[in-house]
Amino acid sequence: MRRIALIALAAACLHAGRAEAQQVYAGVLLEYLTGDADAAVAKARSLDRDEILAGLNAFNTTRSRLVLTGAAALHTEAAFRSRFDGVLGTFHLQVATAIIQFGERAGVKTNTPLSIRPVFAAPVSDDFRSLWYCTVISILEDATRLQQADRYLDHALTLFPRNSEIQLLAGVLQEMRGSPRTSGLSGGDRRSALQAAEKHYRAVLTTQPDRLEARLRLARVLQQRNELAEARALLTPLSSGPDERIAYLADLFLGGIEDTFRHEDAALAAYDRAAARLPTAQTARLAASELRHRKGDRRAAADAVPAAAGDANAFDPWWTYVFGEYWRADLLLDAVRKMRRA
Amino acid sequence: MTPRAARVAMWPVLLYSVWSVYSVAVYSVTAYSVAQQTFRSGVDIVRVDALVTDGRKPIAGLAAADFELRDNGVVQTIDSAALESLPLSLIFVLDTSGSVAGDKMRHMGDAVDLILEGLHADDRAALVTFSHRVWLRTPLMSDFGALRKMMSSAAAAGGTALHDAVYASLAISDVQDSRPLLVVFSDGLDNMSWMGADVVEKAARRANAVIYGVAVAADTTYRRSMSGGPIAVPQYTHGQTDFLDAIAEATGGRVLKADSTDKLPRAFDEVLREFRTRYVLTYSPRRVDTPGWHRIELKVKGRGADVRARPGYQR
Repeated sequence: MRRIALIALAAACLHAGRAEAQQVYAGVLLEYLTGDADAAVAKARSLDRDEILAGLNAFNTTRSRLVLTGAAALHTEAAFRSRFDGVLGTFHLQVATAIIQFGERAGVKTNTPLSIRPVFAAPVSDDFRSLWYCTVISILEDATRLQQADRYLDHALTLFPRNSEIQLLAGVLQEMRGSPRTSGLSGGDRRSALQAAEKHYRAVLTTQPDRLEARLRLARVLQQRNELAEARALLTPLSSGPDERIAYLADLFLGGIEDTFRHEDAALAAYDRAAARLPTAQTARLAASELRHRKGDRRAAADAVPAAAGDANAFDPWWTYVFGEYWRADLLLDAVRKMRRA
Repeated sequence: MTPRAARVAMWPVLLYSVWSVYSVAVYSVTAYSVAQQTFRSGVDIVRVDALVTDGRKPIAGLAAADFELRDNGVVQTIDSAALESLPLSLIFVLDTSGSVAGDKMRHMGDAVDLILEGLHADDRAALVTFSHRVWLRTPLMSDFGALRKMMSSAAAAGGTALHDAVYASLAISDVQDSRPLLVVFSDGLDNMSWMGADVVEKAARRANAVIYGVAVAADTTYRRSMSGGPIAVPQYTHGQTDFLDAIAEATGGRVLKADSTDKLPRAFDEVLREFRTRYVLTYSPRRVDTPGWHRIELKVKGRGADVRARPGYQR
């Protein structure tokens, strides 16, 4: 029954234009909705602009109410699957954005030069829309396209001000702005960015107190803003938690805080805990080595270096911390695909 | 506490003190049987690695009596001033972040080859590369072929953990019976380290090594010469060499600007040649027993020579 309905949707799309380009487009969309989604995404990436624009125009007259969610999902996958590769990816993102932003309440500046004005087709649901914004913002942050991510965050925060995942992404973006790793901001602007990040993370914890990523990040921001006592209080329970990445980073940050307090033994204990937690990570080992060097135990400091820096398979969560929960980008894309027939 | 017990208690302090002032005596003291538990005051020997030039070229043929050295303002008697009295422990600290992909990596490999050719049989070398990670690819050793092989297999990718890499290299540079030299190359700013620049600068002050930095211009612009032809003007990004300047200054080394990576081999070669012309001065500190930072002032008597040496040591 569902399959028949979907075929009818695609047929309606076909009927709307009758042009060859629309037929090609409708064929790809039909395959995405009812057949091999991976193959359809690959075909979508090979469509030319005219075929895509013809398909987009067909949405204005189609009598199918539920076609837009699938089309938005298709273009989102076409933009971001494999990798985000410049012009083509950007165009698919513009198409997906035009579809998503149809039906949004007025007053928010659009993110795309494209637009659709369907007569019968319904806007995507709020659930899909919030998932879509989370997906796009996550991927853009991971690609350090901060300005672009910020424009999507403007929409998302206006539409879903209490959505804790969007607040978390807003905090990550501000934290990236405040980091010399990912932005070239001056010191003053960096401090403002960290202040904004703190506000977003606190908003997350108000609605979702058990969101450990937000707790860790709030603590890190507070540490950088020299609010050390509160940062320590937030990190201490995380250091014994079950999530290895979060526990490692919590101990690493705790080591830094204790060191600032000149509690060298406590700092060393925290770094050693982190190193024991993740033996392939090097940052905590190097931090402990430096502390021992400072304390005069230069033999132990030197002996720690081969273990810290000699492992060809080393991986350290500190290296990717600034990018947020980057691994969620693909999971979010999968969720977008799952909702394509909603 | 009995006098003997007091001596026992002082033993770790003595070891730390001697070790941290890079004493040549440290090796004989640590070789002492701990069971002897003997403490003799005045065994500390401070070693100062100094480059002396007339402003352009190194000045050769100086003897201990030609130098005046003050430790915390107190004139000291220099026991010896020699060239190349010890073998070299050279640690390459090389940037393999994404920005050095392509020609820069190739030029860096050429530069490493050239400097290795200039090492002696009893010298040793290590290779530390850094991107977002610090990678000790080869420890200090005499097998330069293995180091070359590791260098040729290095690929450029990722961020720049320059501070962490310099710290790790300083930590492994404290080796006996040799003169540690760090050659640090980076084409940009740190954006990935856990350690701040100030932390690593302090570690450099504590450590034994001399650091030479080699920086490459981020870009080149051109201006017109008087004759109308273009003149290349290397452009270094704001603050690009600040960290290298600081750690070189802290250890009595210096920073060479290579302008472009094809000049890296020449710059590396210059580092080694210059390092070979440095004097190693030793003295036993007298009337300056206070622990903590000791400021060193070194000059050549009776002539306007430029002297470059570490500004002090931690005791």
